[in-house]
Amino acid sequence: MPFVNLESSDGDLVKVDVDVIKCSVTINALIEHLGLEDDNEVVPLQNVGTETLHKVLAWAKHHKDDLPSVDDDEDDPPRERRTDITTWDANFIKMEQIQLFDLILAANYLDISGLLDLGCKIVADMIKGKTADEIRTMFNIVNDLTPQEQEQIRKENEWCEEK
Amino acid sequence: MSACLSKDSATSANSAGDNEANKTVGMSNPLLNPVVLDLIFAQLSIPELKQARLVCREWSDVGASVLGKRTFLQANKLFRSDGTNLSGPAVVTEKLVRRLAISSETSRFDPSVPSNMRAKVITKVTAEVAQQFTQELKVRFDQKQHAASFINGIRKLKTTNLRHVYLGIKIFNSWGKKSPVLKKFEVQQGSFTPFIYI
Repeated sequence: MPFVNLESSDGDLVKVDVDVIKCSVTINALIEHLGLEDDNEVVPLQNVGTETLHKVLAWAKHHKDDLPSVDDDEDDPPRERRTDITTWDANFIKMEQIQLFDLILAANYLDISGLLDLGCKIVADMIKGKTADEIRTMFNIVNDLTPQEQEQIRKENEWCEEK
Repeated sequence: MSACLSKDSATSANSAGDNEANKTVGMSNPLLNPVVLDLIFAQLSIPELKQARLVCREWSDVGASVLGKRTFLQANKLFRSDGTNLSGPAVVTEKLVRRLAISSETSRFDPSVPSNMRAKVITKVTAEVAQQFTQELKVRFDQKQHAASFINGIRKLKTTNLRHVYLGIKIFNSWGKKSPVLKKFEVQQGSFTPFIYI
């Protein structure tokens, strides 16, 4: 089984089974371009820290044998959930906000759509039912809209209907 | 790019190179990244999306794109009246004019517009609001006069990227129950005749 060495932004090397990380479009493309036949080849990931890289790899390992959207979880999948997050994923994604953000950034950079979707669903769940003020507080976002711009957005929103 | 978030990430600009500089701003904050925001907003309901647009400028912009694909802009409402003259169309971000709804229904007009000016509003909406960014029109009339106003508006339209026009006309109200027009539209859903032009 071929391996690839990933170097985190902290400078740590992690040896990974190519089969595990094939979910990353970015790394797949790099491997193809570089033609990694040598097991000592190193792929530097400037945007992914060691801690985040290990999380990404844990997720990738668990989902390595996934067919598109097949649930191989031991527990019954919670079907009533609209967002169909598996129990394993739900436990995996329980982390501090800053770690979640780093994970989403890494999934976006590495182009791992399953992991990116999971992270975005979790953020969306946090947003649901909250006011703009509550959302800003939760994510420490600065309101850079002028009162006029906010008034304009309110008007536009009122003019938009589903039918 | 606007400095919408105050949070600093550990992955800020390093010696990666100047060509990464632009990317790095968006990359250090997932909630500033349009790709990420688009995926997050896809999970929200319309009311939640409208709230999200009020968070900051970046969210407002990305939110408008998502909202513009999932809703119809009630274009009649962009015109107001002072009793004698019409003013409008009110300014709307181009992302929200992708799909327009035009209708005869009283509730779809600004309350300041008297009934005798509604036909004029429909012409103006069609000619002035449906411009290059508009791809879909959903049109519903219960008056013959409004159908004529719409056609007038279409004639005045200079350039268009329209792909779909959904046209619903309440035949009974517009042409009367004995109109020969009814025979031409025998196959219809309810009293509406939907057409789709591509």
